[in-house]
Amino acid sequence: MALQYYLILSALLFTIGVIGVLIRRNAIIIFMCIELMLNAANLAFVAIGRELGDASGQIFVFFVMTVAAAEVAIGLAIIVSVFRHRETINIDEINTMKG
Amino acid sequence: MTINWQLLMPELIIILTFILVAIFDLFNSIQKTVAAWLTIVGCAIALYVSIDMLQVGMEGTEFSNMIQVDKYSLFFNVIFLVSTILVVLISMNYLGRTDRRQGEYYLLILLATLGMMLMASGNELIVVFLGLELMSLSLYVLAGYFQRSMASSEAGMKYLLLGAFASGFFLYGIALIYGGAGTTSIPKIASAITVNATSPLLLSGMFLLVVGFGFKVALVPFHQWAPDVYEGAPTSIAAFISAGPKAAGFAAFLRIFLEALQNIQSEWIVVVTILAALTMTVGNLVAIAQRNIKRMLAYSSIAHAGYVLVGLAAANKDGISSAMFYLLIYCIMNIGAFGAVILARTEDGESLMISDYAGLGFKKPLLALFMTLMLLSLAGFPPTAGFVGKFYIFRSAVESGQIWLVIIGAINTAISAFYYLRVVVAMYMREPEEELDFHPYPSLLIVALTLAAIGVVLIGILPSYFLSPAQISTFL
Repeated sequence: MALQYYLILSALLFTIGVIGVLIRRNAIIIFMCIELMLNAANLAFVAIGRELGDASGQIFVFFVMTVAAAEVAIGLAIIVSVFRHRETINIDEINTMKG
Repeated sequence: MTINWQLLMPELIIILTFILVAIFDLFNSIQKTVAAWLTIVGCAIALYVSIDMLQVGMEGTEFSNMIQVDKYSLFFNVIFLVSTILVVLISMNYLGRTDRRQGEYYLLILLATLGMMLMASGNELIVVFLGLELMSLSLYVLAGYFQRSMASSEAGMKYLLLGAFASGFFLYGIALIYGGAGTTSIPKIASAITVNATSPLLLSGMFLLVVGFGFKVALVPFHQWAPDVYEGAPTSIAAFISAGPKAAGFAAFLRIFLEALQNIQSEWIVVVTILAALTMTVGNLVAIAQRNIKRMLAYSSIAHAGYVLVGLAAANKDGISSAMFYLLIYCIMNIGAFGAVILARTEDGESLMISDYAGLGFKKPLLALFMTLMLLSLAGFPPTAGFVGKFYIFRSAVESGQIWLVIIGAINTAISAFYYLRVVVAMYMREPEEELDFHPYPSLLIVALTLAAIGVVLIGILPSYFLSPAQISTFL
């Protein structure tokens, strides 16, 4: 019974993340919204793992956290390198290529 | 518990090469081209071992069924390693000898290759996810490798934001499938699904996986990142992104959907069919409007993902083997086409506008010859490899009754001939508008292009020699 509440919460978090990526224009906020999506998946993993009595759900979360940390390290570096060129991280203004 | 390291030989060789390149990179006195040669030698040894294991038929699972080494994963190893070797060969002249940071370029290429190999041999959704991330994270950095260039940084950022967005969908899809099937092991999901086929968790997880893969292999309507990334990224990296990672995406796509989710085939086959038709049509139609050759090749590679998806929509043994065969051909010819773009360098950098290619046929006959061969193969003219690849894909779809998809595919092949031939016509039949000063031919690039050209012609003339390994390598 309790599993449903966790899954609803995680679905809500995931949706907030997706909407945030689609409507926000600041690259760092978009990045935070992506992290929210990953953490929504983590919540689902933990809740389902507990419901099934299966430890692997919990273990996956460690892998996902590691991946998310690596992603942040690389992502912020790339965003900084773009900022050095344009003095902005608004993704609407960073659009030199079109076709 | 003992581990059968022999099964993991290709992966271990890549890791060893990675360590060696990292060590050599520490010494400033050693020329940076050493890193490139080490990468090529390591990949060549891994390629030899993979082919050897494929012939012996070595199979097995390792690390508590996390990794499944079988002919399918070994065949994909061959695709990845061939494309990595070709990409390193076209990169060496492109980067030049002066760049001090070259070591990390090859290190990241090796890491991306390792990620692809893990994706093809993952027997557990979480291993596929880790392989995908290892590959993607390396590629984000490589796309933004030219830090001084605005376009390259922008390509890196666009690829990062959309790639990470796609990873979120992919991971959430895995979480929901874990909830629906109670396991993330691919064979166990397959046996669990027969019991509770209609679980809504499972179905929504499946659609999220389609979205995640759709972004990674650039299917319409998830393709928007591809043209910008290909245009902005270094050309050698555009070649790399368009080849190996796409093949790796399809390796996992095919294995997950045709093995783990085969019992709910009726649910996803419609989606995949529509995506295939959309991807082929939109990719080819938008490619016609492009003036920049890198963007044109980007849309063409989107269209080619659509052709491969026809193999998945066929959902039979022939569909898988023809998709594998097509991916091998596609990687070779697409890297060849990008290599020819690198070959057309002027003093101001690369000439990327299609109009710049006017009159090249007589000024740079070798370049025009390579470019023509690759474009004819991409368009699917006999006797090139592109023709036999498309032929087997469409035949497998006809066998499984997807007649409409094949008709759409055939119309698209005709449309695609128009924009590929436009470049050929410009090279041989137009006068140049202005005199461009082209660089002399770099030797290694010629070696890479010759290898690609031999591959394209050889597969086109002797298809069965390359198709039969694919046919015995399917997992169904």
